[in-house]
Order: sequence, then structure tokens, then C-alpha cells
Amino acid sequence: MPEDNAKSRASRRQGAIGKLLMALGAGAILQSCHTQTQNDAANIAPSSASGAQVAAAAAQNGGAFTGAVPELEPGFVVDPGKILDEAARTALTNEIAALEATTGGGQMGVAIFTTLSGIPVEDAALRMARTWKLGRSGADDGALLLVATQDREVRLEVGLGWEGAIPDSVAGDIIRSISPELKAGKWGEAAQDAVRRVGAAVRGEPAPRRKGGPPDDSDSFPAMPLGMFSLFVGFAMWDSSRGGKRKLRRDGGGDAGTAGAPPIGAFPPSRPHHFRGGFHGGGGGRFGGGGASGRF
Amino acid sequence: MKGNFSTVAVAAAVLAIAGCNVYNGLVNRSEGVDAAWSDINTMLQRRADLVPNLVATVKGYAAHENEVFTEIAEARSKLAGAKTPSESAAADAALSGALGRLLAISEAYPELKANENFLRLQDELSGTENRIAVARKDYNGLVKAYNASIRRLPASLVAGPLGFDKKDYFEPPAGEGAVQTAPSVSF
Repeated sequence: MPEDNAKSRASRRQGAIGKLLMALGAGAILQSCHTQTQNDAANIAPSSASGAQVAAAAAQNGGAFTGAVPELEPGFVVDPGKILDEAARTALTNEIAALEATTGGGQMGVAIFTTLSGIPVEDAALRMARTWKLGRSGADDGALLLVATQDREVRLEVGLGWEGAIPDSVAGDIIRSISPELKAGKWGEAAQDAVRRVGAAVRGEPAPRRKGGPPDDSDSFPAMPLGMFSLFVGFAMWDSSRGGKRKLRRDGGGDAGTAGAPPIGAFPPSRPHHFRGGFHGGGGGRFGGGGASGRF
Repeated sequence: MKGNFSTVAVAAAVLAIAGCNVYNGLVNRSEGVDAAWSDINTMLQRRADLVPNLVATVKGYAAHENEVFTEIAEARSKLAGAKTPSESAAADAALSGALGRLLAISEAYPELKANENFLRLQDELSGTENRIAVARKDYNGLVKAYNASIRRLPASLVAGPLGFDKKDYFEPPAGEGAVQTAPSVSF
């Protein structure tokens, strides 16, 4: 009998420890969810609407930008209104590929819309650039040329890593030098010219400097594994102490916003080059609002 | 008895670890806000540094427009003396207003408008203003998330005693002039 007693006490204690560990697990997961939202906040990029929605919007508006950032297309030319013909598009795509090859991996996008629907060109360009993440993660060697043909507005948005090679005055020079072509409605030539000039400016500097990189969040990393681990251990112990009676319950509480968030550490450090294994957009480059705008 | 003791010990350890986690989360957020604030300051400083060059260039063509030059100088010294985000934002808005007037004046001088140096300074200036706008948006977003986090459980239990206070938004106090958007250059 005493043996039995001791056994049940041990099992009860085990159950209590299990529950505590589970509480710890839940706490740590909650914590990592917090860190997650913080990271999201740090990387403020407006959400892009779903592809179908965007396609529908583009078809309706004939190439107008209404606030929903369309998906980046392979080749980095986004032209929902088909303002460029097939030949111009191919030539531009080749020019962009040449820029990527000669700058050691820099990515430049070209977006052409008819109108920005009253959204300031700086806002529109930054939203696209931050959504598409042109340039490589860490090097931030990206740029985006945005042209609104009916608004007669243009902006060259320069990624953080290229701000040294292309200060705003050089970006302004580039805008000024392509503005005659824009005035003449030679959208393809103007965009190609801009890509060539960006390449020349970047090659003028030895190599894009690898700047800072994303903020270091390494000390928040153990939160998830630790949380998961103790949660599982907790479940196991609780389960065994209850004689194997399964009582799995999904935690329905917490932030609604974190429901579909991938676990921390699940983001690949750098996305693979496009055209290979599916297209995932830019490489993770960051933008801080550098560049120049103009009207033509 | 022994069982109770170890339960209490585990509970204490769990609480300590959870507390550390909450604390570290707050530290990370707070540091994020501070980093974003220093980004804004870098950009404000960068713009303040551009101003003397721009003023000198404009003076070469429009030396008699003294009023706007004085206004700019005052706004610049206010910006240098600002201590809180809202003081900085107010001084920044004043400087934006004065620079806007300076650029409006320059419209009347075709030679100045054609000056290459002036055009490039204007690019740098509007580029910097755009960066300030971007940095302000990022900073305010982080402050919003931080302020919400110190009021939410469980962090709200420890935030006060550990000295995590609400942080200021980068916004001029109401009524001190709307924040300007970056002017764009026309050809």
C-alpha cells in the first residue's frame, strides 16, 4: 500500500510539473509571438492584395495603381496595363538581367502604370519597393523605377545599399536625363536608359558595400524551441500522469494577428535567384526612402 | 512536503524565466524604437547640413530675400536645441515651411532654376525630406507597437516598475503646422 501511495504521489507531482512546464511553454510561445509582431512592425511593408484581386483590379483599371501592390513578375518588369509591347518588354528585361550580371547581383525593377490614383509617387514607389524587396538581403542593392504615364510622374527609388553609389542628386540626374524620352512617350527606351545609367553609377563604385543587415534578433531565437520543447514535455508528462487519456486542446487565445504567422526562424536568410525553383520576388533588399522624383 | 517544495521551486523558476522573457521582449522593442529615433535624427541632421549650401546658392541670385533666410536660420537653431521628439517635430515642421517658401521664391529666378548645383541640392533636399517622412512613419509604427505592448498583459505587470514608459510619437504638437510632404522637382 505505501508503495502504491508513493507512486500516486509521484504521478501527481509529475502531473503538476507537466502543467507548469506547459505554462512555461505557452508563455515562451506567447513571448515569441510578441517578438514576431515586433519584427513585423519593424519591417513595415503594406500588405499586398491577393493575386486574383490585383489581376481583377488591373483589368478593370487598365494599368492604374490603386494602392494594392501587384506581384513582382519574373524579369522585374511590372506593367499590368501592357503599356510596353512585347519587344520593348524583352529588351528591358534583358537590360535588367545585364545590370544584375554586371553589378554582382543587384536587382532593379521597373513598374509602369497609367495613373497612381492620387497616391504620392514617393509613397507608391516605397510601397512597391518594400513589398518586392528588390536587392539582396544584407547588401540592399536594389532600385525601382516607377513611371505613371498619364500622371506624368516618375520616381527612381534607391535601396539602402546603393545610396552611396546613387545619392539623390545622381538619382535626380538620371531622372532628368530620361525625361526627354518620357516626354516623347518612349517608355521602353526611357526605362532601358534608366537601367543602364543605374548600372553605370553602381559600377563607378568598387562593389556594393554590405551594410548592417537586418536587426539582430538572435537572442529571441531560443524562445520558440524552448517553448515548443517544454510544451511537448509538459504534454507528455501530463498525459502519462493521466493514464494516457488524451486531452489535446488547441490554444484558441492570444493575438488574432499571429494566427497564421510562420514560426520565427522559418524565414530563409536569403531568397534564391529567380527563374529557379519558382519565383519569389526580390532578394530581401531594404529601402529607406532614398532616390529622386520628377514630373515630365 | 518535499513534493510541495520542488513544486514551488519549479514554479519560481518558471516565473523567473517567463519574467525574463517578457523583460527581454520589452528591451528589444524599446531598442527598436530608439534605433528608429536615431534614424530620424540622422536624417534631420542631414537636412540641416544641406540647408547652408542651399541658402548660399539661393543668396547668389536673390540676396535681398532676407526674411526667408532669417526664418530658416531660426528654424535650424530650434532644431539643434530640440530635446524631445515633439520639439524636434515642431522645429522640423517650421524648417519645412521655411524651405518651402525658399523654393517658392526661387521659382521667380529662372537663372537660379537652371543652375545645376541648385537642382542637385534640391534633389538632395527633397530626397532627405522623403527619408524623414519614411523614417517618421517607421518610428511611429514602432512606438505604437511598443506603447501597446507595455499596456498589454503580461508585460503591463512589469513594465511600470521596470521603467518602461510610454514613448512620444514624432509629431508636432497639434496646431503647430501640418507636416509637409516632400516637394517634387518639376522640369
